[in-house]
Amino acid sequence: MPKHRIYRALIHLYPRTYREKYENEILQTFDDMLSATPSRIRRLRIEFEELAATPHLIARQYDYRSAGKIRIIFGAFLLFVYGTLIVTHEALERHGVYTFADVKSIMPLITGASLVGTFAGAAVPLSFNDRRPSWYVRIVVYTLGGAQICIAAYIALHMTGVLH
Amino acid sequence: MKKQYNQLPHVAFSILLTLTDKERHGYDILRQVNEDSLGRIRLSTGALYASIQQLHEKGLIREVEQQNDSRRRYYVLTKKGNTVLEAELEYYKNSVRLAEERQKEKYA
Repeated sequence: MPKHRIYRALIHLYPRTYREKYENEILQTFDDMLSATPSRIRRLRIEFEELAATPHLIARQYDYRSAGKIRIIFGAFLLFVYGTLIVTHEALERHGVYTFADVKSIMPLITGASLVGTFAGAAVPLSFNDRRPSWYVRIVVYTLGGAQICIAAYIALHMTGVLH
Repeated sequence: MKKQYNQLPHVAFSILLTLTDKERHGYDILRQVNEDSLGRIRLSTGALYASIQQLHEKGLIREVEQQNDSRRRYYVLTKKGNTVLEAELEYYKNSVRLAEERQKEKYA
């Protein structure tokens, strides 16, 4: 079954240790679920739901294994991209390549995306009941988030004309 | 050390609850969780095994071999799992009792 192949391929993306322990069982349970469902439409629904849920679960599994370190890397990456954009933009503007007005239209999008990423990254550790990242990991995550918010605020003030 | 109340996520609690009467394999747990929750909890296989992994790491469940079914892995509650489940049940019983008392007071 083609969808089975996709599911099998997705399962391969789980961390190796987890995959080695649970891969066969996950596939067996998936098979059991489909075998116990006589209706073809319901089977399709199960297949779709399983496929849709798996990428999120894979990400969670990596996050669980790394105890929050992945979130730090993600936050650092966002901060890096954001910082690069600002520095590049200011340098180009200073050299008269373009004016602030040229990029002003996409700034709300970048600011919004960055803020959503920051808050999501900061909120996820709080939702963990089982395995919260250690205190120093959380400090780094919140510091990165805080820095990102400051940069976003700086851009927003620029855009509204409070800062020049 | 006295166990803190409600330490278990609800899904983990539901999984432990299915293992109180007998050992079960993955699909059997899924089906029973769905039945026990009156259809409200529909776990995906990935979510089930993520919870099983955590429960296993905490020593609340363990694997058992089944002679007549080598393809599937079966799980049972450990002694620690049973203690944790009892503490959770105590917490829920207390919550239900309080809710009923307050409802009575409200409509008395």
